[in-house]
Amino acid sequence: MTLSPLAGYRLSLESLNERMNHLLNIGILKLTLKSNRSKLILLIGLLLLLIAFFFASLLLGYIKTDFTDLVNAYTNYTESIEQIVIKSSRMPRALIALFIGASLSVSGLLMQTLTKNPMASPGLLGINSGAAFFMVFAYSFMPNLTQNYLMVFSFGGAALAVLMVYTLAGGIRGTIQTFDLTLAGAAISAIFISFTQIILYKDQKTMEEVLFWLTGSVEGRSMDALFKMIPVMLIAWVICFLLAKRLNLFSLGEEIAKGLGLNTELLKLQIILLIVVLAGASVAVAGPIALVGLIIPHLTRFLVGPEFKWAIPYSIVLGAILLLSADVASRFIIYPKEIPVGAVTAILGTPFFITIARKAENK
Amino acid sequence: MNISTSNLTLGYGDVIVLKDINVAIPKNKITILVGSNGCGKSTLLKTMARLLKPMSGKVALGDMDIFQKPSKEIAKELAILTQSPDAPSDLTVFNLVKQGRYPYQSWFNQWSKEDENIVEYALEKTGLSDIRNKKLSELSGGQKQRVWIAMTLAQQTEIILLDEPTNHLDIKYKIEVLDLLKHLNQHENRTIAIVLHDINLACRYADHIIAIKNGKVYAEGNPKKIVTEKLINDVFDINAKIIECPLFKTPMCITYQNLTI
Repeated sequence: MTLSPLAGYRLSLESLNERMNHLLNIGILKLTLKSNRSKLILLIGLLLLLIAFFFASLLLGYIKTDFTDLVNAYTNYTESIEQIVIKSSRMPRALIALFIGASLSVSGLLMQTLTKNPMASPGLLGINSGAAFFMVFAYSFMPNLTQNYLMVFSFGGAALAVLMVYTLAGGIRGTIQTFDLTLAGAAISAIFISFTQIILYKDQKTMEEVLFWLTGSVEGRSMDALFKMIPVMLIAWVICFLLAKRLNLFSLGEEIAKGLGLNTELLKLQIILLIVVLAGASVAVAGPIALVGLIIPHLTRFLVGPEFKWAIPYSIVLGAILLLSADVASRFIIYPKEIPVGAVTAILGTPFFITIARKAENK
Repeated sequence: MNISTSNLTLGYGDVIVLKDINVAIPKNKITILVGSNGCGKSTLLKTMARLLKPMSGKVALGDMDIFQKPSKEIAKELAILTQSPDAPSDLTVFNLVKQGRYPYQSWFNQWSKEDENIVEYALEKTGLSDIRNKKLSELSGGQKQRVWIAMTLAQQTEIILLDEPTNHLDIKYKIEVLDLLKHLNQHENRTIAIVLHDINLACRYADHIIAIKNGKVYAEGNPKKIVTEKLINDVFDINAKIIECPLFKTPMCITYQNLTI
């Protein structure tokens, strides 16, 4: 559903894809880092880049602001237009982009590990469609709900969809087959998407209001909602990192992992719960932002290889950078108007998407 | 440590594959399980390694029920290499072999010098020391298989179970893998059980053969004693002639034809 508007881009992007393959072949982009030291140094470099984009997100936009406005907004608040914009609009927006970008890419990494499918993203578990249906339902039938309640609703929808997928795939019996998981995800998604479309078709007013959310956007969210979400996401990141060794083992295949003494059924449940928390919270706040969870894990592997103790922090930092930069770009593409950040990531992500699909085809 | 089954019944869903199986894998020997496709020999091997739960019956490792014991503890005594496992292709040899140390690690016991030495030993035994930093995608089929065997060696278990470790390998690498297993058996007293398709290689390398037919153990024992034309006829449904192998003096099955002809 999120991909169909992009079909038109495909032709022009094919040539781009060819050029990328060429670069890969001649080795310019072949830079997978080997030593731990070089991985650490690049990570620090990327962190600095992340900080730079964070400040760019605070300062750049339709209303011109500079560094003094930023400092004054937090030390000497005079309610000038610039300060208000920074404090009430750009700061929440930058923080949301940072945390959601990071969380989406970690959940994508987990999803690809869980399903052993390089094209998998959290949406495959029905998260996006479940959240969308509950959001649209609440908007249409309970128009007086506040933003925070809407978020709780769509998170609930994401969680419910995953629970249904998990049950269908045999999770309750104690043995989930990842293939069944993908099938069940597609089925549940289809149901929620058609329900959503029925409501939107009946209720044009809701359609206009939720369209921005449905494309994926980090704009106009309250700081209040964010502060409830940040600690949860942080804890989920830490848990992922603590599971790094087990995830390494799991990626060798379930039977091998079991043979080495890993409780794979427990780990699968843990992975699914982490995906619900990370992707569910992201989609509840910002809508289904396309392709971040798909691209970043591949970029990460390309840079540091498959070991999770590196893949996790790299996914966090690169995901944050991608969404922050896409959000800054979204303010200038049809300046002075803005486009939803989800549309930007979709455009940026498509060449990657095609490259990955091609690579998978060639195998 | 011995591994044995008592009244083991195995199957998928409602379908029973093997019924009332009582076998023991003899200590410090090479045991090879043979039988036609779908006879349940892989299922039996996986159940003995606690990867599959039986419908009824027991698997004992030493004097313990294997399904009662903590899985990580079992992994210190028994290693299993399943059929054509699929690791990330960008994983390096060293990083795969090192996963064999997982059963020995915990929050308190992180990676140690001893773990490092054992991985070195496993790489050396399998002749992989020089290519430890290569990615799996850069290896030949035979090398890849040796990497997986190295991983089970790093596990430092007395028992190693392997499900068709020579699958998809050409004849040279087949021999290479089986020679390595023979070496481990003879020089390090490892108990080895293998599921193998090739009856001639099975006769050459096995001290003990377990032949499975129609959900039951058809015969078990030393290949010289049990592998006869009748056995080949019954177990594989083909007519064959058995001679003594000129090189190894083990039974060898030459020229065969379909029973129905």
